[in-house]
Amino acid sequence: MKNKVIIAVLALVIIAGVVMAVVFGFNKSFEYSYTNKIFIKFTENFEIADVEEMVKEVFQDAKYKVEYMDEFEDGVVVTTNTASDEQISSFEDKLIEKYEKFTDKNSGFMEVIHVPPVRTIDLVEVFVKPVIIVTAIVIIFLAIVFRKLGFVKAVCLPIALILGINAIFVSVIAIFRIPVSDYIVSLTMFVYVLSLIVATIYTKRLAK
Amino acid sequence: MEKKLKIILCVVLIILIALISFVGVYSKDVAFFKNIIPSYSLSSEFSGKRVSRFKIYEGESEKIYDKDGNEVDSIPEGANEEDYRKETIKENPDEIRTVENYKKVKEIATRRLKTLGVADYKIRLNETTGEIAVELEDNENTDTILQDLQCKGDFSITDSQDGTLLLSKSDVKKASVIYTNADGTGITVYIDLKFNKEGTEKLAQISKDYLHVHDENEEEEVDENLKKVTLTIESSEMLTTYFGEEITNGELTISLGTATDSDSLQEYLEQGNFYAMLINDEDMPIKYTVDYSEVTKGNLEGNAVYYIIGTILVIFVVAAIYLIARYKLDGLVGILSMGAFISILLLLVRWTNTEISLNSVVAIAILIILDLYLMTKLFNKIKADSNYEAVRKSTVKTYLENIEIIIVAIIIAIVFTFMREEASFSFGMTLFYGIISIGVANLTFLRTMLLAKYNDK
Repeated sequence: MKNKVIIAVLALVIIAGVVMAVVFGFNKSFEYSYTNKIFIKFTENFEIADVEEMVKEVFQDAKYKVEYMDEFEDGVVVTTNTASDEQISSFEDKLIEKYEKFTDKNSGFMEVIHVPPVRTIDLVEVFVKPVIIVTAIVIIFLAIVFRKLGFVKAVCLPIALILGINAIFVSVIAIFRIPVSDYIVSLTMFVYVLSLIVATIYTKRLAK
Repeated sequence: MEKKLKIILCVVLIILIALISFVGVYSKDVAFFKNIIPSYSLSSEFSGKRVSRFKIYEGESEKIYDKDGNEVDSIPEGANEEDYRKETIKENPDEIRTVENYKKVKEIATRRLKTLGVADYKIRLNETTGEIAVELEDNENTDTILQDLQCKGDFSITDSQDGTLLLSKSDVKKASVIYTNADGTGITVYIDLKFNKEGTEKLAQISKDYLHVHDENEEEEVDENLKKVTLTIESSEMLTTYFGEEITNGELTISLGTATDSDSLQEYLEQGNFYAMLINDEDMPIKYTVDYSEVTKGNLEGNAVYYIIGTILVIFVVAAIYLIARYKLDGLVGILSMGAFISILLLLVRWTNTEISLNSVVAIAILIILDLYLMTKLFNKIKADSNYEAVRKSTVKTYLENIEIIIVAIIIAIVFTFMREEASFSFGMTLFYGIISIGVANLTFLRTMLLAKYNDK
């Protein structure tokens, strides 16, 4: 009875996750959403804190990140999730006002790249082929080694376990709108590999 | 005494391997000390990346038509200009600027990056404006890759006089690069074009129509009326020639040049592979140009590295607490062995120049859990039967009894290693080296220390 309740709850979680994913899609992290990257090349000394202050003033409620372009620290990249033309123009004006070497807007000291969002499918696409191949080989391996258990226990149960564990994990991400980022993609890999190992251990226990 | 010596020796060796792995081995190189252990190779997630903006090319070209409506290259000298009509045409007219074409450009660019062996990339398309943002690892090949992505990819064989299209990409089944060292003067690199059924028939006809058999006994004369064909790739005329024989097998080889050293061979091969890549894929429906490209930091630069190291340390510490709390001295031996396996793994990763990505860290976490599981099985057996003989048999038997799990881990490692993408490859390699490291650490250090501990003699 207890097992049936647990399975029912987990099934509900999976269904809710699928609905959330289909209707609302996955929530993407800042880096993978639509961002505006503003590249500023400095030809005089500057403090990154001053640039951050200007960004806060101009872009107000927007999410932003201000960092050096590279290890030479002679340029800054400002990444924001929203940036209207007026805000960009206002930001440019502030930079011209503060820094002598920025003479006017046409001098090319600032460049804006509008970076479209990454599609969730593009993030996971690289793993689709190896995951399918590995899962197929592992299932065939388990079917051969534990053939005495029969088709249902040696093949169907491991498949159900692998799919179930991963479906629950992905559903939790969808339901709680956890932002999909590099960390989440790697964590999904971790859960997938663990699910294969758990399926193997479980099938072995059944065989014993 | 002997068993204490063995344990101390194992501990000292583990500490030594850990020092070599985490600190390095320094030797004097002229006036400075240099670490002879290669440093870690970090993926672009940790190091810098290049963000480039691809915009639709807004260039225009001029076409000249004579009074009969035929296109001509230029107005002949002395001719009446009023008899000719000039038309300015956008390189990318409005009707081709559709979402379907933008998506096709993205697909073709993705395929080109895979063919070029680029392991780490992100392509983001703005379906409204057609702008594409490409993120690549920043290295010495990035500029070449960006140029390759901008190529339209057109290929044609035309009549050299009137420009009539004779063969196009749609007639080619496959293009590949071959090379031979036939006459010993050097290695000649060719593009080998295999045509499909329709292309084979066309090629047979063209090779007949444009055939010229040069008689060696006759003096060579330049015949201006000789029918020739022009092969064009990426709007550049590669060569203009005639056929020396009829070709009925549907295969055409085009020489790129003869290399006499490894550098020129490499250049010809790269050029050949580039042309083969363009011919094997569709043309870009829209011409793009890179109008801005800049280096930025990787997503995981800075503090993220410490968070990741911290996560691994936390997993290790939790494993240590569990093993020591549950198995006391045996657990301590287990943790020392785990430390040895991590040190050996990191040494292997550094030595083989395996790039460390976030997924490598995932692999290390999985390996720690796998090692913990196997050790738990082993220590439970030892708890049940603690005599020397039982321990000696258990240390190997445990791994044999759990061979299925080890095989599954090996399958995962091998399949992911064969994937080109950096994320998969680094995960697979790290997992593979990790399985070897666990084997080495457990069957040497762990076994030796446990046997020494349970040796009653």
